[in-house]
Amino acid sequence: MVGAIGTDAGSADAGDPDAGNADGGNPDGGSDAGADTNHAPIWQVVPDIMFVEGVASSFSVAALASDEDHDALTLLHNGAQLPAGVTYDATNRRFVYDGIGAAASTSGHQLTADDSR
Amino acid sequence: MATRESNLFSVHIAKSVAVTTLRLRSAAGGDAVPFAVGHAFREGDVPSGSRVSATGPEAGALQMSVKNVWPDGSVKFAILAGRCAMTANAETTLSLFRAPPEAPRAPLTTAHLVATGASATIAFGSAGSASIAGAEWHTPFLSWISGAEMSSWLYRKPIGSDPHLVAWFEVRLFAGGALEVVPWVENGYLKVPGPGARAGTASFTLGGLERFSQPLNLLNHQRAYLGSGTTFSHWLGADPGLSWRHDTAYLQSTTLTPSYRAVTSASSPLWSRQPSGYQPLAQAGFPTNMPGAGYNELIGPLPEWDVAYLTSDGDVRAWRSVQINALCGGRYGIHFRDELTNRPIRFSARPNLAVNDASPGLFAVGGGSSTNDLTTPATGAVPPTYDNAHHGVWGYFAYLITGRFYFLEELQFIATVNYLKNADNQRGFGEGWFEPHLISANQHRGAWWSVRTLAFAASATPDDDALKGDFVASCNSNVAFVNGRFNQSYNALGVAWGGSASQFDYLGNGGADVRFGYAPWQDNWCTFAFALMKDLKVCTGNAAQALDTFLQWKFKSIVGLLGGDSTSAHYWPFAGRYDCPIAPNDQAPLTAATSWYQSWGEAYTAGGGGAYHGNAMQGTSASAPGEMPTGYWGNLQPALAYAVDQGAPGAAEAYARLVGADNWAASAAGFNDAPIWSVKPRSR
Repeated sequence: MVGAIGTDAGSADAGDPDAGNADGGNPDGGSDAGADTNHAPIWQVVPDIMFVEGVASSFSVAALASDEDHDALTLLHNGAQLPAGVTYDATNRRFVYDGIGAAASTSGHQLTADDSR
Repeated sequence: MATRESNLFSVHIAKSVAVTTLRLRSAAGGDAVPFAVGHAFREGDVPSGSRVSATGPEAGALQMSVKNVWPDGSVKFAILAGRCAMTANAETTLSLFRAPPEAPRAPLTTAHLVATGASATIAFGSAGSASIAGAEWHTPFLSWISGAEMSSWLYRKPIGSDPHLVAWFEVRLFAGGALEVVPWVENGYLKVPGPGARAGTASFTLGGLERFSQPLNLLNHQRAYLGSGTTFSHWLGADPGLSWRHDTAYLQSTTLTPSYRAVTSASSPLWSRQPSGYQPLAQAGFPTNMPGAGYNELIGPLPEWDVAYLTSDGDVRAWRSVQINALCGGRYGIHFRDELTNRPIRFSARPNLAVNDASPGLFAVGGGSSTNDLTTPATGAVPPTYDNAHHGVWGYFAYLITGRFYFLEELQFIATVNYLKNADNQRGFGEGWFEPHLISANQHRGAWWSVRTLAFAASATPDDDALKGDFVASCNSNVAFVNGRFNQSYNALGVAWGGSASQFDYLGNGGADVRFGYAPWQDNWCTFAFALMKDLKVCTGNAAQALDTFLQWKFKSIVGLLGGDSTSAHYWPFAGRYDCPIAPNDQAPLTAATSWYQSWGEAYTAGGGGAYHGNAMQGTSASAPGEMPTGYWGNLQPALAYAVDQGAPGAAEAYARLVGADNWAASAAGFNDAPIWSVKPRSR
């Protein structure tokens, strides 16, 4: 498969995975000049997630974030309130609906991808 | 530490309005396996302004590219695409449900295609090669699908300087970067000089790797997909090894296919008849001689391989066979592409054009053109013979389940060659009606099978395709034609026969038998073809009402054949007959009440109606009840099924007589292994 394309349209740094990184967050700033650059993770667009009332199911977000350096990513949810019956499973990087919660919608959800280095 | 935030998004639990399911399988598996399938929907299930989304184990966002809508605005056919987490060789079931419109997402563009760095090349012997790469991806011949999960384009390029050989590429690009190509070579135009055979080694190279290479002798108006075995497309990266199964009960309920009673088991002998792999121009499941008489797996409302998909719950062997056979249809010399549009012809643009001769391998070309507007005769070897009196409609069902443009055009080519076989002044010029037996191009069955194919083409052709209006207009014209020709007050039987200067007497015109007879089995296909047209809802304006009028009259024939046990009826145990008298004098034109028997009882008596009064189907040879799956009792099933579903007076009673026969169950059991004619009412 060729390199990921296109689905990061709308991201401020689309097409430039290094944008905003530049080691700016490195407390040793400058001391690692010449060392390998750590690239920030890349997101594809996370669509609105839809479950169907009464149908237990899950929605994986694992494939929506990637890392050019092949670092393992942790995907964290911002804590916005989820509809009753929906939880975020950070270990398996997916939203899980128990099939019991009633029809509802909540917004303002966001995930953060962290490469831990 | 490097972090990045995603876009903001919402999480919904929607009220459940389940539509159907779709089962996916990938040999490779993966977190985000790209897929794209064709999918039909029942009228009203996905109303205008809504869409289907999917949920299920790890289902991702689902893209729905609508190609056709029903008259009420709801989705009729769409191509669904997305990515799905799949375990290798395990089936993943997506539940499709009605959902509100999706927030707009930026579609994949040709810029993304260029960014893949892909190149694609088709070479053909000494003719040369045709390549698409780099900025050339920006100028497709046709943009077929545009979406955030998948976009698709068609590219075409002449091969070297040959005026006929053209390389075609159907390209799908998925979010995530997966790229899939269906390549083919085509050898056929209308009036370009010098059509004929082209021989050479055909090859296809994608991303610098040769994917296919094989000597081909491509005859005039053939086309060949460049692949083999069960490789139905080529992937730039790893082939995910996809297959899928629709909810076949739901698919039949959409009315876009007939409904079947057969249940084909995994161990059925039917599977031994299915080709296991594709080879360009191979015979596959097609008959050795298409014009040959008798049952074969191609003839019927749909070919056996298509029906097998429906009756086996989407067995992967049928899934493959549908595509293998639809691809192998390229062996017939029917691919008359208009050099002015590079699409199959529009009837309105070619009102006088007719096929010039039999060089493409067309059986019974009739009449020519009143303006001498003829295709260019070809030289060289002749392709396998195509005959509209015995043709099947390959391509239609393959398109329904895959959404591939290649298969849509295959269907359109069949529909348009049936038109081109007829003389212009005998088809109503651009109207494109099919007049039975007036000319040699159409026996009665040839006319009705052509109407069937036309109806499927009118239904399947996308609403925004320039060909759509022509196919629909031709359906409307065919309705007007049969209403005017056959639906007359003197014809009380509902039999679409006679009424022209050239009548076909199935009891031997001019011989010792002075009666005039017809072939009920062929006429039942007329009933089916127009009832199918009604189910597909392709007629527009007054034609829709005219079709109802025609069918109200036409259903009298199948209902009449399965009449009750009275002197005024055709006794139903003898309905599976080869011929039947409809008039007392084979020298009198069938254009007056005095020429016709005025009831089915009269016809039955004139046919030597027997005194049998039991409760079992009767007949011998191909009329034998035990031969129902491949004989005349089978041939009448589609007409009866549609008559029941469309509420024809007496149809329910006729159906009850048939399925209540003492020998029904034993006779119908054979349908499971030969299901073509096992059409049943959708409502039963």
